[in-house]
Amino acid sequence: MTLNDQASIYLQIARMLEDGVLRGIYPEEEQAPSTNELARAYSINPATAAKGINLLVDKGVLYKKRGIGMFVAAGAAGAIRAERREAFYEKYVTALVREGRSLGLTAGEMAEMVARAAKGGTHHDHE
Amino acid sequence: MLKTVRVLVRGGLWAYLAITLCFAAATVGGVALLGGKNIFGTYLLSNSLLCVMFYLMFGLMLGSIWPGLCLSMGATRRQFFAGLQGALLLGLAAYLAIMAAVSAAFQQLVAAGRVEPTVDFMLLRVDTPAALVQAVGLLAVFGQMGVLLGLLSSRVGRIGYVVSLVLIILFCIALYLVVGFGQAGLFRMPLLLQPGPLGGVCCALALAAAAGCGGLLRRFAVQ
Amino acid sequence: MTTNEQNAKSLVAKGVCKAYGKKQVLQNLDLTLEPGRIYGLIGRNGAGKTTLLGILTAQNTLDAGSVSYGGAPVWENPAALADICFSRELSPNLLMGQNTLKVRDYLRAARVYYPHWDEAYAKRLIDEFGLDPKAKIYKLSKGMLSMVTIVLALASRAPLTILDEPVAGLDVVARERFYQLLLEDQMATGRSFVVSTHIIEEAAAVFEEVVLLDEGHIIEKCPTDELISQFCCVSGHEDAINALCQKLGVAPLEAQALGRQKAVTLRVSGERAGQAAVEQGLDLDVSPLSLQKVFVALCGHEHPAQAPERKGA
Repeated sequence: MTLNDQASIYLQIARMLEDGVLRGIYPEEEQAPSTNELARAYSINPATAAKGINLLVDKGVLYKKRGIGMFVAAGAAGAIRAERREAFYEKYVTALVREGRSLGLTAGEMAEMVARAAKGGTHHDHE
Repeated sequence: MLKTVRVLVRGGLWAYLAITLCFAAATVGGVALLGGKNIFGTYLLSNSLLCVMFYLMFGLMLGSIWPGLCLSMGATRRQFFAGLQGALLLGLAAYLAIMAAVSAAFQQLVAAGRVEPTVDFMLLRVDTPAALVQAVGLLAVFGQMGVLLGLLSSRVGRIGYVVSLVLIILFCIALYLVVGFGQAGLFRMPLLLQPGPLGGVCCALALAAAAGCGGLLRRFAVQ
Repeated sequence: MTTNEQNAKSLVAKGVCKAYGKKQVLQNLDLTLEPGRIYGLIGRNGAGKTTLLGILTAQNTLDAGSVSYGGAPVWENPAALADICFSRELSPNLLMGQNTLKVRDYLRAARVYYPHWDEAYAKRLIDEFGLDPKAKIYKLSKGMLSMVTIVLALASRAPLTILDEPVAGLDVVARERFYQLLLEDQMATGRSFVVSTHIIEEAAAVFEEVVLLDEGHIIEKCPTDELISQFCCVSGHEDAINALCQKLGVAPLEAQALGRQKAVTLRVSGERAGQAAVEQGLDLDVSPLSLQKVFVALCGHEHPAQAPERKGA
């Protein structure tokens, strides 16, 4: 819920909203937070909040209902999950391999660790 | 312009007027109660002296505090200058009225026999049209000088303001002595202070000084 | 709450030059401030911020150039100046002039001059901040002085409102509250704000655009996140760093070294730097910079003779 300086604020806002969709905080076909609500909640410029929302509108995660506000699109959760799955390899797996290599782990050792962690039960089960 | 006049009048004129009125009332009241001989002139002289002094100080205050403030709140220099002259005019009228009222009060006291009219002193006379014009002109010059002093001292800081105050008080004391001794016949009264049609010259001087204020204000930068 | 969208006027400065004696404070400066935005004006002490703001609001004279609002020059223009509020930083050291006034008189004068003044809002703010209206300005603490600056700026409800160092002297709780108030007001009225400040990092999220003033020139003016995205910090083995810089064809803006470990600030996007590093097979960490660090990298230059490289952690 807090913003850091590791990525553009509007990207963090978009990500936070997407996380909310995945967690069921913003259910599909229901109203999403408005620009002003986000600006107020995070003490950020409303234009920045708008940029984050527009990013999600372009992605099809949110849509605008004239006169009312932003709503979560049907199938948004599925779309986000699919997109993140594709990004999973680039974002997490390559980073894991790079770190492992720098520690001198072999591919086999890394794979064994991944299997062990996966068996240990998942923390967040979105299924 | 009216806005500025309001701000300036509220900012200080009323306070100076109130003090002057108190002094005037005190002296008139005191004389009425205690009676007096040979001091008629002194009271009248000192009352009009106080009017001149407080009017000068009003000008000083106007010039030192308010330009910076009003300009920093979005007033244009033209607006401020017009308001400044308006406030000065109001002050001038008020002080002339006080001087006239005090003079009239003393005439009444003389008529009632409470005071012996041995000497008739007045710093600035308002009893004849010519004298009135002269009084207006002189007061106008004093007012503009006060503002100019204020504008200059605001660039220097607190020390400039204090020095200006001291200069004003010294000036008024000198005026008092000159008029007092002049009226008592010790030397010829300076032409400017003799009742006479020199108001025109004084008004011209006042206009020149006002132009100086305007010019200074135009260059005035709010630091 | 009124919206000022219909009065959408821009403040345009062109070729502004100003010198104090021999010192050229502002040189050929151009700036356009559009309506409805919150701008951050950032610069070091002596960069010319207050001078610039004074010139933009026709309170200081300029040597060359022009400043106009809605197409008409601001100089001696009552209509333009009625829409512009410049809330100055009050000095605690000035023992005369306007500092001899009470808070209440200072704000009363503001009420006379600002046609959009909202007295009820001013009263609410005074209560919230715990300001004593009868206190004389020169007796106030630094924090209280900042609050007076803020009350004047917000209650003026001027379509273009400029605040000079509004948070100097405020503690962190008061600062957070100020940013909230600023955002609330901007959302409710669509006013334009320019905030000149030293305290960059907290305010960065509030600014839609930042204007960087360095030695009399505007060196950057763009949306905050766009500016930040143009920079990155890369760290790792100094050989790898040098190889990366060579590949990218850029010289570091700043460099820090600890033994063979080196960290550099580059004017290159994080993505580009990361990509180049991967292409070259370089083991480097790429991270973004905060607005404050970007500012220091751009304006923190010392005497040109000193090298930007600093040894140490």
